[in-house]
Amino acid sequence: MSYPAFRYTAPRTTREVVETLRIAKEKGIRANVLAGGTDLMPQLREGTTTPEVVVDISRIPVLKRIERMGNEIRIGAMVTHAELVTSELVREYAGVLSEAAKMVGSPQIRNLGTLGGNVVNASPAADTIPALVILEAKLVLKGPEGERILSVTDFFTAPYQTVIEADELLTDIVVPLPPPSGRAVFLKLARRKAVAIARMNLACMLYYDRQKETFEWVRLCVGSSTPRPVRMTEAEKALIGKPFSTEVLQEAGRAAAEQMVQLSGLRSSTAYKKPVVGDLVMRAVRMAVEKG
Amino acid sequence: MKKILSFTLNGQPYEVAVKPKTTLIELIRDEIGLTGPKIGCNAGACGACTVLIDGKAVDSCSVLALQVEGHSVETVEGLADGDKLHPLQEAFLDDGGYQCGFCTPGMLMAAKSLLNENPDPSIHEIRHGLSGNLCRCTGYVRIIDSIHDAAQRMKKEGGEKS
Repeated sequence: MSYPAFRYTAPRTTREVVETLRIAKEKGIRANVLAGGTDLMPQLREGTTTPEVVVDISRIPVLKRIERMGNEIRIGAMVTHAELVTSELVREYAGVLSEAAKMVGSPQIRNLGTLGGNVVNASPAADTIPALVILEAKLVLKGPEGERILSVTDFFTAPYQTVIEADELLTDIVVPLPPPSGRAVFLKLARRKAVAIARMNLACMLYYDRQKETFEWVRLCVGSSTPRPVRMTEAEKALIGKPFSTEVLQEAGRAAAEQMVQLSGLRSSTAYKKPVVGDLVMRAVRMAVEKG
Repeated sequence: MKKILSFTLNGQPYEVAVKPKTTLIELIRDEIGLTGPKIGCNAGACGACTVLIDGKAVDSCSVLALQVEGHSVETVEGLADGDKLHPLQEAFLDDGGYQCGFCTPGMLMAAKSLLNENPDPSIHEIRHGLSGNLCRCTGYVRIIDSIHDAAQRMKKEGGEKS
């Protein structure tokens, strides 16, 4: 392989990882954390990332756990997409995250790629991120001074850019249990059905009260269409308190499209994405309501 | 510079010295000399390099060799039991599940991984299970039929044993 050599270390504890990263940062050594490798390995090969040391975090058992702790599910950063698809806990309490993970890559990629890696790589087209946004997930970052906990929406600053420091490790993704009344949908549009990067993806969770005939609450996030992942608050507002009707859905779709353009500006893809984001929002909301 | 790596390959324990940047596919093909798994895209998109780690299909081009420390790796060379072909291999032969053969080792291992999890997959589930493997010759139909056939054969064999 033609890329430059690097040193390799595989610590057994998160504390050792952070210590390794801290020393590297102090000495000005380029260090990269290796989780599942599905993003890092191609970057090494293309020379877009040139680490001097690679810190493999695959041998730290605590990073592979999925557990319920009170009103939260704690998912270790090394949990793979395949494990998110099959985990009973995730399917029961954060089903939309399972659905999103199912859409990632191929079986081979899902067996390697991790939730932590998908988050830290911060691709605007990442499938799990819109799901984490509507689940109001929190991220636990461990650094030399201890832990800090951030809302997932505060983590990303721009495509492939986050607030994580060079000496910090994402250890856990914490998902508060959503209200049981919520119905969730994940949709993905891509050039083909498998092994494709999303042109657009969407996660939606809502509660529609059939007695009152109103949307009680709605959480919507459209991926691959804004510089950083955000809730489609204008579309949410267009639905809350309103009945399930074609006019209301259309209004929500329009609001989402307008918010997207406001956040992203007019781009070459806008002519395609603007009508599509509206249709996608309408479709997702309809599907979620039809789930009962 | 090189590190000692201990792992199991097709049931045999191995201890080899590898460079950190060596990928698993490079270790298997260039250093150990098993050339069943192929390098197609070298980017995790074609599945030609598919091997199993602890029974699960992965793209071995996207794994550093050192990452399999302590794990069990299976390649297509480990499928047959001596001279007795695995039912998947028999079905691929009988049903014409290959043409040029380049993608076949990856297809077989992806299929093995699928059958490990789901011994009786539907055609839809087989297609889903092969979504990470590209074939440039056959158009997939016979590959999918072969895997379906293999699952039936394995069910029958399992039935006879019990």
